[in-house]
Amino acid sequence: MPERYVKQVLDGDKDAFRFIIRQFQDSAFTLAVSITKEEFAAKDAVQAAFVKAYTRLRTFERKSSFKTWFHRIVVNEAFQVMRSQKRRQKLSFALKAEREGLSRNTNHIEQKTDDDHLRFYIREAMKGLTANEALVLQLFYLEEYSIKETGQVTGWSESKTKVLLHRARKKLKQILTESYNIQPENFFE
Amino acid sequence: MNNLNEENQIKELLGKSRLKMPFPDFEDDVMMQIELEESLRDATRSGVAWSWVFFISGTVFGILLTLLIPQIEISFWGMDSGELNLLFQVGFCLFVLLHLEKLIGLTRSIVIGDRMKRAVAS
Repeated sequence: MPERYVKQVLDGDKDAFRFIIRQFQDSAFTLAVSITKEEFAAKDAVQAAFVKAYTRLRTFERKSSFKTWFHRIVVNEAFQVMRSQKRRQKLSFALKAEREGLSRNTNHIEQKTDDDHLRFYIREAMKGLTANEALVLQLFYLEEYSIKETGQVTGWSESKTKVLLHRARKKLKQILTESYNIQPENFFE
Repeated sequence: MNNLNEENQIKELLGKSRLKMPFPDFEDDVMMQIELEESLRDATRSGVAWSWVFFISGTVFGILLTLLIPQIEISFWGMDSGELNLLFQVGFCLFVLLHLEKLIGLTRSIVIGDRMKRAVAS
């Protein structure tokens, strides 16, 4: 489907790129937030990624799908934004304080949290993961990339991807259980 | 079986972390940025064309000067026309070498871009 719009853009129909933006903006934003941990930084990264994708569209060789090619650009841009803003250190302090506060507030909340609360806690837990851990979870579970495809998007080897995935799963469960009192295995029963 | 169940649980749980782009003008912002990039690229293209015009006319003018200077009897800061000519030639060669390399690089990137565009379109 996006390949059709890619062809239209290359044929000179600039507005066809709007369809590509609409189709990929949410997934790109989710990926970028998992890396930058901050919405405005993520927006900058996604915007830069779309502009780069447009200007380099002619270099898209169709060896992989457009989605994989574009997500790779998003990941690179998000890491670049993260590096340039040097927010990592500030964030880890802010997140630690925020999580401690939340954990105090949420300890009394019963297991059966409603959907909005759960959404909020999962997003907060994702912020507690490193950029690489959050990214590998998003790519593998949300975008449903295989290990090999995840490697193509991120540039990691298959073994590194597997190790990161294992570590990220473990850490996510740990954060959900310890900080937010949510146990994934019980939640969906 | 247990692993599969756990994988599905994580998948379902992570499904809730999916975000929507919260900036309503995002699409227009991107398109505007693209317009800007394109106009910059067009400006670069015309800038490179003008650079070649001035480079070639400057080179012709420089060659003419190197031919003319030895024929004129002048002295400047204690240098005669032969020394002045040598100094001018060294400066001229440096100028040509430095600018020619940059101009060729810029032109090559534009030409390659155009060729790829044509190849993809065909």
